[in-house]
Amino acid sequence: MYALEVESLTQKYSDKVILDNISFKVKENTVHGFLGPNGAGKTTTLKSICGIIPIFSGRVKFFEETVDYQTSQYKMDFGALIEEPTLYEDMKVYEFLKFTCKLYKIPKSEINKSIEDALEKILIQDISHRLIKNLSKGYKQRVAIAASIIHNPKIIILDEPTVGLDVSAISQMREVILKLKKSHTVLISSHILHEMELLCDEVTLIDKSKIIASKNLTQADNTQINLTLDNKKGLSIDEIKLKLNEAGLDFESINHAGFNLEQFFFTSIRRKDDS
Amino acid sequence: MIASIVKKELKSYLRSPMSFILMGLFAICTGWIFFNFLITYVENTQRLPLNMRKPLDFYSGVIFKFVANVNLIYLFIIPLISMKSFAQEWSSKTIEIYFKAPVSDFSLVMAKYLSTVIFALMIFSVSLLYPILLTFIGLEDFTFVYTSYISMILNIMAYCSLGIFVSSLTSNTITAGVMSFVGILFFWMISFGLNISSDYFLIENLKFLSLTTHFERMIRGIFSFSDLSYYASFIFLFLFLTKKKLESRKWGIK
Repeated sequence: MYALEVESLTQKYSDKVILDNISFKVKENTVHGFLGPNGAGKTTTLKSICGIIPIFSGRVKFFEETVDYQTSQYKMDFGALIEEPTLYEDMKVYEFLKFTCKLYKIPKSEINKSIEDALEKILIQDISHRLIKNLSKGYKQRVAIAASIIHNPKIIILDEPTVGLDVSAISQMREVILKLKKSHTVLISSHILHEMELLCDEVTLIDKSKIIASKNLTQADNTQINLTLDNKKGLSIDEIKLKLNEAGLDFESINHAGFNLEQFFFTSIRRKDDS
Repeated sequence: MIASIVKKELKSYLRSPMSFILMGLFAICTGWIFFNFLITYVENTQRLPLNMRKPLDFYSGVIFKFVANVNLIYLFIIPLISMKSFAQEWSSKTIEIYFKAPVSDFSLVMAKYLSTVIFALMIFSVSLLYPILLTFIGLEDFTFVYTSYISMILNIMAYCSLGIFVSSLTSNTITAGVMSFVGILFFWMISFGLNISSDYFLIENLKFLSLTTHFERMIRGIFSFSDLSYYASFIFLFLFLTKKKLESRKWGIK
């Protein structure tokens, strides 16, 4: 079942087309990467899905039901962190999460449990009584994610959650996202390909306002096989290429083991530009 | 929902040292003004023979003048309070916290409005001390004190609605503050200098549009349906426009 479907979504500001008839689907309980260079239209897509900006044309479905943005019911189905974390810096983490619970109309008796669950999922139990303005950027990012999942939504939308974070904060964020995957569908946008490769089950690439490719990173693809060579003889790349040619095997490139998302990304963009 | 947002907003006001500075300045200014009017009144009355002293003079000499001056102070206070309400949320993008949650625009506008009014009244409550002090000098008839305070409360509510609306239009708090001041001043001064025109229709309409006309009548205890409906319409109009401004983000959405 698809948790999220975007169908023929178009966005225009004045006469400029920001999103050009884009469509993609996100499977339930997966981490779906939304990749593209800066200015490709990632944030606009996510903001449109969340109803933060009006949709020019097209539609969005959550669990096969078209989202009616005129009501507020759809807001219970997703939690989102778009661009910078939006937090009240003069509040303590627990106080802020409690306030968010009230905005989501969580019954009084369940507020403490919801907060504890969110803190546990995002791994920030130890900072719950600290002032938000005194937290590092990584922690602020995680508090914002905790606030966006406080109502236990089925879909979580994260826009570049690792941008501006240091290496250890990125690693913690990765851990958090993988933990969220167990009970939520996660749509995550980024231009950091290595991160996406580690996190995502599936990716969709966007460039110049158009969807250019989608790829399942978990399924085997028989048309392209990565060969892991135990190069004990110390052959050079050219020698390996020669031997493969002699054996009558075609190859596109010789890489280290594993699918190379970076190459896939740039090849796809190049292919799109050529066409 | 509204109560939660109001509580959060009031906490935010009370966390800011600016609020206490504002309260302190208000207390000093009003205290100085009140005792000046009182002393002047006592000195002037003592010069008059007993048969020429009228009870109403006390109200026009102290209470009405005092409330009119408090009203003037609020011309500056309300923009300082209301400028933050939406403008700061736009600039820090925290408004998205509400837009992502199932909070209706009506609830948000009402919560912002009520919190601004409550905080403005908290500051105003400092001035209650002076009528209470009057009981010690033997003032028994509080009718005009009540009418003056009710008029002032209605004025504060009207100013806040305008301030909230202006704040929703911009992400710059300074611009919001200045524009609120200009807006309130406009409705204050719209009936000033009308004697230069001979157009009766224009004069009467501008008089009706002016906050001052209604305020001056009401502090003297003349409460008419026209005055009350003016305040109700004024507040409703600006809250309605604020809600429409918030809704405008959804215009065109499917």
